Amino acid sequence: MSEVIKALEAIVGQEDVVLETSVRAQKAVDLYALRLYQKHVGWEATLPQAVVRPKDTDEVSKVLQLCNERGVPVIPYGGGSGVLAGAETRDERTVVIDLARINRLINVDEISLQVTCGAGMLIRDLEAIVQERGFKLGHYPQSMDLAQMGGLVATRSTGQFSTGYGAIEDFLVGLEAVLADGTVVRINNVPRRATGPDLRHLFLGSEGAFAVITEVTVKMFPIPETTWKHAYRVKTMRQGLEIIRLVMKTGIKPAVVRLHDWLECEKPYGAFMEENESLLLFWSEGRKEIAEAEGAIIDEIAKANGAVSAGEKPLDLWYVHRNDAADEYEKYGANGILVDTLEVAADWNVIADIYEKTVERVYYEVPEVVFFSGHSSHSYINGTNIYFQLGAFPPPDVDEAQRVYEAVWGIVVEVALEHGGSMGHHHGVGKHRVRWMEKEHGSSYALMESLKRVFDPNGIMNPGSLIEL
Amino acid sequence: MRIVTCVKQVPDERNMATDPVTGSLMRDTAGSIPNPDDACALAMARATSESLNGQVQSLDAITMGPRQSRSSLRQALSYGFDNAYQLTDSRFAGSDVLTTSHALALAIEKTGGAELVFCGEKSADGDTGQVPAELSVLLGAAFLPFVTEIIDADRDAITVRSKMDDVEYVIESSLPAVIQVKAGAVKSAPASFRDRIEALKKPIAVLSAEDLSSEMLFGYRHSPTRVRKMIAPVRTRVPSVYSGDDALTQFRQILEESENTDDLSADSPRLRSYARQVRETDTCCDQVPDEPVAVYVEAHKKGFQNGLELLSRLQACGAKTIYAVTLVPGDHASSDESMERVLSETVGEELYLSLLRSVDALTIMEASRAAVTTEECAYRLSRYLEKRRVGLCLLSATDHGRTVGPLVAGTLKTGITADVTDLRYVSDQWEQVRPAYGGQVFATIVTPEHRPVMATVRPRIFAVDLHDDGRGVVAVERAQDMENRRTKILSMKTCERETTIEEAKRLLILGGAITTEEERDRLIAFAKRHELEWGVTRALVQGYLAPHGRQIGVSGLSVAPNLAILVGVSGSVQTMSGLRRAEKIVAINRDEGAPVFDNVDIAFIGQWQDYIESLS
Ligand SMILES: Cc1cc2nc3c(=O)[nH]c(=O)nc-3n(C[C@H](O)[C@H](O)[C@H](O)COP(=O)(O)OP(=O)(O)OC[C@H]3O[C@@H](n4cnc5c(N)ncnc54)[C@H](O)[C@@H]3O)c2cc1C
Repeated sequence: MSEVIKALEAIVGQEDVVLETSVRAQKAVDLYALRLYQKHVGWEATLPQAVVRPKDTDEVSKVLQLCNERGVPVIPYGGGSGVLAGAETRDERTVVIDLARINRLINVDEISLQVTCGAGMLIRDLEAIVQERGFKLGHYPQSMDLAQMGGLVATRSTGQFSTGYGAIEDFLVGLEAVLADGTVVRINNVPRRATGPDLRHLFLGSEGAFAVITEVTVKMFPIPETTWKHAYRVKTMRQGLEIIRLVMKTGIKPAVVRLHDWLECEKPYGAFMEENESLLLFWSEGRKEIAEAEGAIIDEIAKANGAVSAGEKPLDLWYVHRNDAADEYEKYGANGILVDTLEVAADWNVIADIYEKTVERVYYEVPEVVFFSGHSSHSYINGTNIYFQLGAFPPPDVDEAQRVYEAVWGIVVEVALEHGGSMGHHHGVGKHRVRWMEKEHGSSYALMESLKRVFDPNGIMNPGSLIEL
Repeated sequence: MRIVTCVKQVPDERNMATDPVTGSLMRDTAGSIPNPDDACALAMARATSESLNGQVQSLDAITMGPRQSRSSLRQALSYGFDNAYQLTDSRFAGSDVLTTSHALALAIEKTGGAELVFCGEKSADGDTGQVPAELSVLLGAAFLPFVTEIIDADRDAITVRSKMDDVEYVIESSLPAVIQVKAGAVKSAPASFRDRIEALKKPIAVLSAEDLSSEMLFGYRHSPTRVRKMIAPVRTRVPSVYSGDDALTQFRQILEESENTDDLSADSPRLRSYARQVRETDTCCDQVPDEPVAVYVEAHKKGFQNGLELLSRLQACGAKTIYAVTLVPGDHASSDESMERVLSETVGEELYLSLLRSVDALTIMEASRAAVTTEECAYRLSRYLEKRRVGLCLLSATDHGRTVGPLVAGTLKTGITADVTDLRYVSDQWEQVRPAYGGQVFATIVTPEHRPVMATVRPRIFAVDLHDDGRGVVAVERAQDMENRRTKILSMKTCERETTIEEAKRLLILGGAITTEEERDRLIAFAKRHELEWGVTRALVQGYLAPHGRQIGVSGLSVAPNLAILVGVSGSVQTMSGLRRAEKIVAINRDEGAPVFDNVDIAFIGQWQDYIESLS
């Protein structure tokens, strides 16, 4: 047995240094779409040398210190629901740090409405805990059943109710993290501070490349008294986007604002629409007077701009089925379908152009694609995102799948960047999007590299994620 | 030449079944998708058109349905079809098999007729598979059921392979012909995104009722069958709980019992149990009218077994005059007596005599050839039913019965109900109960004004319980000339049935508590010893302990075994929803509070190893 393994066993105990192949295989990959397809046509994962399961911050610190001294690559592993290979092992010397045991509930503060827990707590479990006390997190990624609190912070995630409640950076109040050399750092919980740059942002989106997050404190909200929901049909995505812009301009923040194109609507909502239309979904919640007032504003703007009511039912359907994709996600690859989601963001000025141009280019340039749709699902006063959904039938071959995959990704990223948008709205960078990071950040990219050097001088922290090797 | 494919939109089952908030069906809001079986029809039509090399002038698709539901036509257009027609009019609403077939036949004729018409095997919502056959009758075309392959086609004739009731036929037919494509027979590559977008831009021609005919014999008003009521049965499982030594004995018993039940039917056990439940709420039959009732019996052993079930039900309903009729292969008997003897030998004397004793008359019709076509069956049976003024005619819902039945109903312009699970005479009507929407509801159908009332009945629904009160007269009808013979069987051979996990009657399901290869292999060995198929939950697939092809649940397979044994399964909705159709669910789990126990029939609390060991 290698020396490193022995040393790890001395830290966390023999039981929690797992060498079993099936476990190492499981923790060698995440839900990177390309692999979900490729693994059925001959791709094989590189396994880490061990999966360690520390039970507390102290053990994490010792493990990191050890690996840092010996130059052993480390990958923090959360729920494994990342979709960009962020948690994928590519070096067989890797030690995977499984955070699942660091999942203690630490404190629920019902006065200041914040809750603190270990980073390995599944968001689903945390939601259940606060629900029991009459609160909700307000953060609902589609991967609700899979993702951990630490993973969500590490990838700068956002949820389905983000237009109203905000994204993870709006929820995160404070945290504890362990740096590469084992140093433990904490950021206290305060409503706001003007004492230099906000250090929380060094950890939000750090994807295991800077530090291991071990504890988080997030906001929680009272369970809303009422909901107002309504769907509207519009002729085109451009028209729908304009209506959302006008709604956001009023300053109201409905919890959910969505706009789906026809290909996406046809199956679930076809019964409520005419062919080729797009569908707007609005959902406001909170105090009755407020939700209803927001509803009235939305209704007025929608109708004044040519939208036609499609009733409440599409929202009920959306709500019931909103996370089905998480169950189905792994099934496609086995059936020979390459499925992925690609999310970009941009200002109102260009977002409709980005949608139209991307769809058109995919449609002309990649014949293997059989499905390509888009929706807007997270809106802001100055812009919104487009979440593209891809279905393709590449020839059953590892390289061919990669070719088709890169062709679509290439188009999506290129169009977003050439319009001055961002290539990534909420899934992070992982090991897939790193190649475009310099283009994305332009002159400020140098700072990203400097940060990496400061946090991880020995280059052991999730190498290849966030920053290209 | 023109080729037309008939396609349909069906409610999206995913939306229909799964409203966990209210637990109710969401049919109204389900949204619609192209009927899955129709994709095979489209693909086969396109391939046939290509093989006819320039002889096909137009390859078209037709659908009948509400205006919004066009995705099936768009699908056809994206496959390169030339024209798409949509029959849409409120006057088509509520059409049954006959009126639907009538509208489609008129539409095909009005838009230029067709030499070849392709249809899917059945629609996912109606689930009857009767339209293709009736359509062929109304078009005056040959009918080719359950076609798996087009062997050869030209301007005047077509040769196909067809698979019915585990027999494979090669059939030659004149044109025009209606081809019912067997589900899954062809796999078509999905249209590219570009073709889908282009298809969205092509025109769709809309036809109203007036465009088809001035008589307007469409819709519910002109349909021979009526829906009297709909019942949604509830299936809740309340587990019997066992632990300790008692439990081991009980477990052994369950396993042994299930090994010994010899289930002849490929039918879903869930349907049988639902049907039973609906029947329990049954009111007694009213006085049955005098008109004779008949059962069409297939001339082989299983056919007679099925026939006895139908006759038992008719006796129980108090039918006064009961006939049976069968068609035997031609050319092998010189005298009437020897025909009877050959039949009795084919089906076995005991079965033959029990049938004979329970009917007033058995008519043995002789076919003109040794290989009997469904066309000839339908022809002879139609004439028989007319001649004897039969009021009700039952057939078994085998592939054969499901083909002959609608051909006869189309010929006699009467109503037919498919896959009936119960029959009774109430308030002056024969009430036929059948599952709809994949068995989620049961519809009670009547045929008020047309005779005979026709139905195909699921095998193994009714128990055999006969009184010997028939007169048992045997009548022999010799082969007759058939005007206008369109189809000919060139060859036939019996094929093996292969069972898959989805068809398995007994299943062992491994859950997340199984975490090592050793544990898994031990359970697989156990399954092999006891002739159980095995499946897994998602956790094992994710843990690389089993291939996805064995996963049961929402993102895997949905199964309907007679017995499912769950080992170390926690009981997530994801898994359990794949087991909704199982007859008996047994779970072994050491955690008394495991959610799995809310959803099973028998709960064993303890270590699975103890149960497995107790049997080896
Ligand atoms: C079906 C599906 C739906 C999804 N929907 C959404 C959505 O709606 N919104 C959204 O934002 N995302 C979504 N995602 C993406 C994914 O769930 C998120 O990226 C999530 O934040 C990952 O969390 P995780 O715990 O699973 O992290 P993992 O996949 O385990 O890890 C992700 C990255 O973070 C690092 N990491 C994990 N935990 C820690 C830690 N404690 N400290 C330091 N680094 C860590 C890992 O090394 C890796 O680089 C979806 C994914 C799927 C499969």
